[in-house]
Amino acid sequence: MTRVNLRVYGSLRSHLTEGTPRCVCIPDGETVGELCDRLGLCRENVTVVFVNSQKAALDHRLSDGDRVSLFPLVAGG
Amino acid sequence: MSDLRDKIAEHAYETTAPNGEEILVVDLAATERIACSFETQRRRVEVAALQAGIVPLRYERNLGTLGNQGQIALLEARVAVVGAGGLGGTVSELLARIGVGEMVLIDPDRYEESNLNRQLHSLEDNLGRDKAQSSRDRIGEVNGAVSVTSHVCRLDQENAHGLLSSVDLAVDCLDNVADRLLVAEVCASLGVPMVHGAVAGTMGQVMTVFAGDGELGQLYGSQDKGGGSHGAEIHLGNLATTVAAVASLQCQEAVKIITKTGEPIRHRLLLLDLALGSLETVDLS
Repeated sequence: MTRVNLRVYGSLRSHLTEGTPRCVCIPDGETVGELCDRLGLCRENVTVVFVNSQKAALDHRLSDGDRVSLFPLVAGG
Repeated sequence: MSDLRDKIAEHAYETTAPNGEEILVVDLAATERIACSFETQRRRVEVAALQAGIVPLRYERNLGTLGNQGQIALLEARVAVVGAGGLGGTVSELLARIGVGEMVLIDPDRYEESNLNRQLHSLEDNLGRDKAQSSRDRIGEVNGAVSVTSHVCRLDQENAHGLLSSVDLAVDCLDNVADRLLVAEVCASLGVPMVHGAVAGTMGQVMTVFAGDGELGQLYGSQDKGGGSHGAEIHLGNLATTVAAVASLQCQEAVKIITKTGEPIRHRLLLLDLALGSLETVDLS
């Protein structure tokens, strides 16, 4: 199993299952997109992904200890 | 010029700065009178005073951080504020207070009641008025030395080059993706740096983009892709707290670029979420 630290921002938080931990265990080799599916987040709403403070795509494969930040699109002024 | 400096020196007086240092200052009333008698702009008087080591009193609390040269650079700068709503209202107010000499304000909209929760220059008695013109009027009250041009229009493919061609810097205070990408494209072609800011609920983001940097496109996708022009703010709305925080960060980026000090948030994205009390900078390079 791979353990990742999860940070979910803004409106995405309201789509998370209540009690979702900050540290989640996922099968080895899982991608960010698959993690979103597991969390019940619609991939279309996850417009910006950072893994360890580096921009990443939904097909990025996660490694043990990764810090994953998921953001919605922010465009208001 | 020496006549002008002599006149400024004549009106200058010594005062004790907060750090105990004795400094020569010239006050607002004197700079106004001198500008009037020399038939010049007040900020020209302020620049001449700073060049002579005399501090315009209104900027006295700036100089410990900015220094005389930094203040002169700000007074001589011309900044476009694209969008005069939430971010734009606060950005223009802060830039006027810190002493940016010239501003170009661009916004096609008029104030509506739903703006009152966050747009600094919207008032109960100016609903229905043009935002760009209202901000220009307000800036005149805050700092009459600032030259402001207001354009009540949406920035588009036809007018963008003309509106942005003579500015040193553009601040993106827009409320949609498509217009942001247009401003970024035009700024890149003109070699004008752009300070991006956006808000949604308690979330905000800030980034500085120089000509040739592609991070805004990376963040929002290319203009050709189109897609949604709005983001999470459609559901979350916009709060005055987040707007003020992001506008403040944008203004500090502008100050850093104009005064060539500090380290702009370049090739990085600063993200804040006031609900979590979190502020992080992520690498986009």
